[in-house]
Amino acid sequence: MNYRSDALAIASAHTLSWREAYSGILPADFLAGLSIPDRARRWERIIDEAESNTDVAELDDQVLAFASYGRCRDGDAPQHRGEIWAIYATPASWGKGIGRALLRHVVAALAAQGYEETTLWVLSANQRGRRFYEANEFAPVPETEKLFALGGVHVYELKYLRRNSA
Amino acid sequence: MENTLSSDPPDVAGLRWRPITRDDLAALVALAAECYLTDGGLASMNEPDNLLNRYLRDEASSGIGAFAADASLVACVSVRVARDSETARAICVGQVLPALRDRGIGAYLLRWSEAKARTLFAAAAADKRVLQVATESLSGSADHLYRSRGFASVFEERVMRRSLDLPLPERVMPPGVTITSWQPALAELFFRAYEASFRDRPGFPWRTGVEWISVTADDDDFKPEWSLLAQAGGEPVGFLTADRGNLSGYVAQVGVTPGLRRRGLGSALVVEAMRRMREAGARVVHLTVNVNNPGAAQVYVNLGFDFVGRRARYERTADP
Repeated sequence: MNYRSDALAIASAHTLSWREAYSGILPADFLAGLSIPDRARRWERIIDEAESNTDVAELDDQVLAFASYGRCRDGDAPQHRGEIWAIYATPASWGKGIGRALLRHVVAALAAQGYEETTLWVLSANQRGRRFYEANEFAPVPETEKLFALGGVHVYELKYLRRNSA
Repeated sequence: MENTLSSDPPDVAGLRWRPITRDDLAALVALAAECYLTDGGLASMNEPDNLLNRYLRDEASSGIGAFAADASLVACVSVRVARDSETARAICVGQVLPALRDRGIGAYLLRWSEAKARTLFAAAAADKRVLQVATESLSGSADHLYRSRGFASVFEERVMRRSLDLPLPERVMPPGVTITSWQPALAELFFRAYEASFRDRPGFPWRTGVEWISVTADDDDFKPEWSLLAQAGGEPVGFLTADRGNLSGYVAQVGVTPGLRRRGLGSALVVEAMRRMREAGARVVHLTVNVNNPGAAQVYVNLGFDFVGRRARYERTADP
């Protein structure tokens, strides 16, 4: 589903999701200042480079959710581990099973590419996101929390991992 | 025959049964992904368009699903009738979430399908009425269930997968054989290679060149650069057709004409296609092989392929 024309729609969904999901976690002026056109240019590059897969869940040409996934980028990762580089659903689609469907679809797609595990990173303070991953068989990996700078503040992120099959 | 009690859904706490519609597509995608992770199969069958086509194709499809308290779909089935000149065939597709298997849900889905097929058949004028179960991710317990209800397997193939991260084996083309990738001007030669390679296979479908070329090359995912024609002395002696997937390749058909068999041409074609797939960024390659063709399966095993699932069709004559 790597359509370049989706870059703007993905960027829009991405930005809307950030503003809602990270409200209270990242500074309000940083979230307000996020630029959809800037992000669209980044998505065009990501889609063009095709190093990861980018899939979207659409309804009536509106992107409700999207995910980017591929090999695990952690330096110490075994070869059989895939990673969800990003997964976001627009706030309007929350609670309707759209994110769950996309997440499970992505795990199955990674399994089809031969990856036996899936990892992802989540902001430690993103409780809603963490509950969502935990409800979908991801578990936090102990002692993986790391600090990084985003929007002028320092935030922690935490690694989650699941097996791709029973 | 009809047992009224058997028409009730099994008593599994918290499930709500209702008809499924196109609005349930997200839930269907999630269920198909869970089943794929347990049963394997072809990942392309989990794509939303493919699921819609199988479960909710049109007005003539009718299906039900069981929903859990969190609105997730845990089981569903759909039936539609396809007709040809003498046969009306009720095609049933269904899935049960792995965590809820062995509780009678699959048996109920099948009973529901049989009853639904009877009502659909009532509107179909045909000499022969056949029930078909079509599965893209066959499990052992499903096979047992179908057989216990009088179905027999009429088609089964195994899905095979190979990582393209692993080094490719060396396979040399037999002497005098040249390889050309697909171009429209060569389509007729590809068809001649296909026909000469497969006409001795059981159940060989007689198709015109126009039909086969259209089925092969009109697919959106068809990849001409990975599709190969082998020629020797100006004659087509083998071929391979391939599709592109999600950072993956799919070998649709490989054939070698009888005179060139057992000389490594089939393996050499597959290795060359894998080389091209890998260069284009594919990480993995899939193919399917019929269970009645163990020789071909062994060739793929020797090239590093693993078995990752089964797809199958079961049929029985419908009750009058």
